Amino acid sequence: MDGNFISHLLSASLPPGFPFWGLALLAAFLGALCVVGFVSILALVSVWLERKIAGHIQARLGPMRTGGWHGWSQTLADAIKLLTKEDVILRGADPVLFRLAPALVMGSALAMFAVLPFAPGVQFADIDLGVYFLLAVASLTTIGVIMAGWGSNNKWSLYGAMREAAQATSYEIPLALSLIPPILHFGTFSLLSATEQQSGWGGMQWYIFSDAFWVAIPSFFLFFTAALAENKRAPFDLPESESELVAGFHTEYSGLRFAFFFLEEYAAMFAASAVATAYWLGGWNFPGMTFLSTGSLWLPILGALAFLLKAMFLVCVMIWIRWTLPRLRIDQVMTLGWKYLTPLALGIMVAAAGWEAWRASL
Amino acid sequence: MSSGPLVGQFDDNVLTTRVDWMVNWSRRSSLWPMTFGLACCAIEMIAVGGPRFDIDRFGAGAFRATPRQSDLMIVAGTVNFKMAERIRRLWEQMAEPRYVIAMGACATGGGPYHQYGYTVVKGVDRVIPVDIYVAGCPPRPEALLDGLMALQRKIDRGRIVRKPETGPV
Amino acid sequence: MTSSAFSRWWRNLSDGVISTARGMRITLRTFLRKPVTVQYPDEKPDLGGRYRGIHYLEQDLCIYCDACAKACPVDCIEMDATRHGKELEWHAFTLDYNRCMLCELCVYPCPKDCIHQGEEYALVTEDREDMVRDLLTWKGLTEEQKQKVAEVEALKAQRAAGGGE
Repeated sequence: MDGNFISHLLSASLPPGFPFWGLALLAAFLGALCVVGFVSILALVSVWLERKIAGHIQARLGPMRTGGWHGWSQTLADAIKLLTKEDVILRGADPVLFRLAPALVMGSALAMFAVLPFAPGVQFADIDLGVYFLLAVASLTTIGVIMAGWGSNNKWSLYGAMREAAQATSYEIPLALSLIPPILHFGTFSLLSATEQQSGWGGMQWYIFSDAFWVAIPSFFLFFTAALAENKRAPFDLPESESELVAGFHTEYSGLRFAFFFLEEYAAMFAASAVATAYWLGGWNFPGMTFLSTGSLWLPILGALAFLLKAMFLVCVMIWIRWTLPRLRIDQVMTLGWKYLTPLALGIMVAAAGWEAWRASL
Repeated sequence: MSSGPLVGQFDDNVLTTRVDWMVNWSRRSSLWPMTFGLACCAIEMIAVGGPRFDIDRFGAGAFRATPRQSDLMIVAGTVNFKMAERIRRLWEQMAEPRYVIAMGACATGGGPYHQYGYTVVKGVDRVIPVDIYVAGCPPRPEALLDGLMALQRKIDRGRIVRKPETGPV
Repeated sequence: MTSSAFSRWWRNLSDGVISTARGMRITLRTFLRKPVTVQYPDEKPDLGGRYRGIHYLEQDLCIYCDACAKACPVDCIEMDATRHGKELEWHAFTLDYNRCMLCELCVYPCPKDCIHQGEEYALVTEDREDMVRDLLTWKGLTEEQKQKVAEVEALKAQRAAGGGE
């Protein structure tokens, strides 16, 4: 329970005789509401950003006429339209798997937000094995995608799902291995503790600026590449490649169920960027934070702002990559994963372990 | 047309008009077209997606590859009898609400193949219901954008929760 | 053998990284460029001087010779009028845009140079029957053409007044 700011707030405001389980339930419910709201707003912003960035990269404008400044309400219209659209459920589809898959995918994306340290004191749960939890929950998405592909009773969906299975299991290895250098450096699996250890040098002692920068920078790029593949982002969007597989695993999904897959993509992008931010880019630490006193209310606000800015910058880089690179072929994806990223990640892991051991022996 | 438990159940009032407005606004602003081109008009349709004309300004730039997720079918080109079956099936696979724009002379009425084109359907409206017809051979990209705006006006006229007007609309 | 395979591996890796960086530099440069979009309903397109748009007819000059209808490769022009001596009583002059290719072949054979293709490019209807345009009532003209038609109408009125003498 400790570390959850909602339960702290609640226990301060509720009467003293309130049962513990009631507090826990209430805190969990409010926390889930917060995450759902946050993820929805996040997806609205990132989809709008995606369309604007895509437009400007192609020398056009993107949404302009839907209303508001540069069509900012575009995604809102998309969301309402998807909500009011017909929900097609095929007669030949597996009734349970087809309905369950979007919920599982969405749930796993939302669960990732439980362990992200947004700001000092703003975190839903500080688990000792935070990154472990994150990786485990992120792989649930793959199961959801396979369920969707199988349950749709459609050959394209099945192809997409099998690609996702192959791709996700392959890239999980470099993803996890590239997380080992920061884990060794900070000596913790907890994202919160790793972020707190980067607060030195006036808030600039980030892992990529530390004395281990020569392993930090390549491992950061490795993690970013593997996270792109893990999140089915271009150039690794093989599971939904529309030139070959119509729309891959969500070919048969319409309306709200498709919106869940759509939302999951952006939530997972943000979660991956947030992990990269917390481990490599100093989390909520920003230059000048030492001037604020420890108990100041500005610290969590500016910290959350710094964290969001860094994570959103990485999301924008993901979008930028998507609109730059063409899609790889499936054998190229597997080659990149097994023959390039995995050996590199192993090498970097060994180098990082040697460096940390040498530093500890001093 | 649209049907459901809410349709035509309520009188005009502030709430229902607002709901109507909001739903119509969302449908009009987010007409995702299907990635679907038949002939030379498709080149103009692709140009509309390109930088100079940019259909994404209207929120209709997210071309979806699957009919389940698309709202708008732009029939761009000559419709053969062989293709007509597929068009019908794709249209049936689209989720409601769905809209169709017949683009160019071939799709509206057979075009140059009207007299002697024994393989050509004389107008795609013999296969699927069409909302908007755009003339031209092929139409300019601006004409297709005009068609899109005409479709947006048509959607704006729609009523979802209010009672339908009596008499001629 | 092994060394060459290893160097190929490194070359592949560095090629991949460098080409990705180059591609991203190109897209970044385009991103920072001014978009080329013509915001259509607010900005009108430049059609050039010789655009072949929707037709208009200077009805008064037309002598009901059927030359344009005969020239039409898809037979989309139909006209109907009654002759009263030299005067024509027009019933219909329809052009079927369900078939028309806007090829301009109807414009050249006209002996009186009375059928033209204007700069109006968008004919959008909600009903297929509306695509059959009666050019006698078709008002989709540019300002210049409207002026021209008005001049013709004035001439016609003047002649009618002259004929009444």
